[in-house]
Amino acid sequence: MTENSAQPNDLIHQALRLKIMAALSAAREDGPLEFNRLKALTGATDGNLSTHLSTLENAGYLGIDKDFVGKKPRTRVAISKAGLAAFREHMRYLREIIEASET
Amino acid sequence: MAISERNAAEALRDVRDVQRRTLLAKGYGLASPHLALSGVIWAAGYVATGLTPPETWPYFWLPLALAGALGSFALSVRATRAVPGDPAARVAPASRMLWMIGASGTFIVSTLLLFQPKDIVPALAFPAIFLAYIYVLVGAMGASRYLWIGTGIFAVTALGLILMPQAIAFWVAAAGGGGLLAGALWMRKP
Repeated sequence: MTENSAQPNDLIHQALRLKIMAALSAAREDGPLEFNRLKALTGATDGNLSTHLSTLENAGYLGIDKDFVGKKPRTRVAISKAGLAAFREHMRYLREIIEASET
Repeated sequence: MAISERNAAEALRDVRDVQRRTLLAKGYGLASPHLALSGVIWAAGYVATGLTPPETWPYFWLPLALAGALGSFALSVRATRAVPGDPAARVAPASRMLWMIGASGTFIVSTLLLFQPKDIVPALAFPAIFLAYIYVLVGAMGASRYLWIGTGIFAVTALGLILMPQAIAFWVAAAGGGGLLAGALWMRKP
């Protein structure tokens, strides 16, 4: 087995956090994702999603913007540059594991 | 942290699945205003068709078709305005939209001219059947909401042909227009 050149990321590898980062990285060119859309895409509950978003926000991997549309509160989430770089690095690590197992 | 090969494969599969659904949701969001516009034009055209004699139909269908094509072009340009890059490249999706509308319209008109249906009822139902066919094809390629919208439009149109052929224009107005408007609302949902 060959050594990995990329580094794993414990914080991102958790199942729901990985899905959050995957959705945000795919949507990055179109701006932030709304909380409800992110919830639908990841299949998470409100509480679970909020908890993991806070963890990722504290790590500097995403930004959370809260405002109101009329009287309705709105929460939008966007991946940061650091978050995108960390996610890509972790993806590279995962692919290297698969590639190493195939050689 | 040690990640097994199996765990890595599962994680990559999850990522691909979420990214595919994210892009699909984006596509649905972009399609929603197009469906709403088409639904309004479709319903207005078919209600007018039901209320007026056949010789007057080109007078409102041609302007409606033109308004629909230009409206779709404008919606596509607006949707890509926020995307950075070459302005000419941003107009490309809008141009493709015009080509698709033009090709669909040409196909429907050509088919009707070619086969010259003696009965007006199937001629009025044909565009709805064709629309349903296109949506089912798009849906079969992975965008499942189109599949359901197309199936719904086809089923309601077929029901109209069987149950109320004498009021087919109004039936198709409700089936096509209503189906497209309901589809537009569904596409907006997360």
